[in-house]
Amino acid sequence: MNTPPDDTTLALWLEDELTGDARAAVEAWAAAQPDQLAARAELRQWKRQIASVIPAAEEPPHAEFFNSRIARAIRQQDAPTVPASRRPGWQRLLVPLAACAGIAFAFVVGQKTAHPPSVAAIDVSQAARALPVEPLIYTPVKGTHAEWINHGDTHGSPVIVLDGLDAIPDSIDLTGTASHVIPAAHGTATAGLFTPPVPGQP
Amino acid sequence: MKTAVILLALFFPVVARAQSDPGRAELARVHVQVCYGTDGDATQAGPSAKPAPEDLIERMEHGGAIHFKTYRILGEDTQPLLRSYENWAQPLKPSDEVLVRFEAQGKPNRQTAVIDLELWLARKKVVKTDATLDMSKPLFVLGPEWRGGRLIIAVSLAPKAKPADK
Repeated sequence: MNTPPDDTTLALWLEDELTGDARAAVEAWAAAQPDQLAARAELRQWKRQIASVIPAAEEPPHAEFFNSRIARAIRQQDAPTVPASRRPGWQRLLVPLAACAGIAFAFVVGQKTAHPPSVAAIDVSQAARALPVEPLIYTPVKGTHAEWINHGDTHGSPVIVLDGLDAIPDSIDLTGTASHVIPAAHGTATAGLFTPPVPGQP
Repeated sequence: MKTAVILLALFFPVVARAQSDPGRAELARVHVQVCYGTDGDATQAGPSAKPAPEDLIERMEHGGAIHFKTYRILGEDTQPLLRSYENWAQPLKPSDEVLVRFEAQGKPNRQTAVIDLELWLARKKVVKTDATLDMSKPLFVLGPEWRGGRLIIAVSLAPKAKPADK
């Protein structure tokens, strides 16, 4: 084969993706193309380097959503602080001394230039407690309201009370034909095998 | 014989894919019960409805938010909580009037799991929340009215299926 391959075929050959006759034909052409042989060798070397760094298989992470991250951030805030690194005694005293001097200076300056506050001070001491600690509830149907009731003791179960829902018509027989029948295949059902009822619904 | 070979060939990739995808690993199972609570005639629930067990009634009525004279269980379903995929429970099979969608949020411990939970009624999503499910404490949802009473959906965590159950 003396005619050069098209770009797609050449790219496949460079990536070692060609097989059979197509590969043999390009090999015959490339035997007289030292630059192409060098390019393929360089690509192979690059692949080997990548393969040595990246693991062949990786465990998928557990799903983690918005509230989980908030909860983790709160835990991190409450965690004890890491002890400072060891430094000479006079260096460790330097920072608090400088801070005290700065505070004293600011206090003196403030006393001399103070004016009565024009707006009421905002108490932010309770701000951290305003973070949501109960699960978030979202009701997409207009006119529906959900209330989360958690009894807070070890025996009580949480209850979500839904109000404003349309009643299910009495003519609908919910018990139908297969009540209490746990499917034989339970424990093996997977996403994708069960299609959500109406895609695009809220 | 030929049909069996074809079915095997069709089925094998599905099995192989399920075994090779760690995202489909079962973390726990989610048990969903649909109860009917009423102060009127409990036979309205239909002949196949079963009386609710006493411990379930006690838990439902513990805080006072739920209180009826009579309770019946209309149906139940148990489905695996998958590591990286959503899953659905259909407690009133074959009816899809009540569906529960759930998805794991993080790795559960032995007793509890935080999940993303949705309740669908009449093919519409009516509530979505992120709940901590417990083995011993179901989450109750006091739902819509039906035949003079109300539906109560109980969602709880169940132990993982033993390999022989799968």
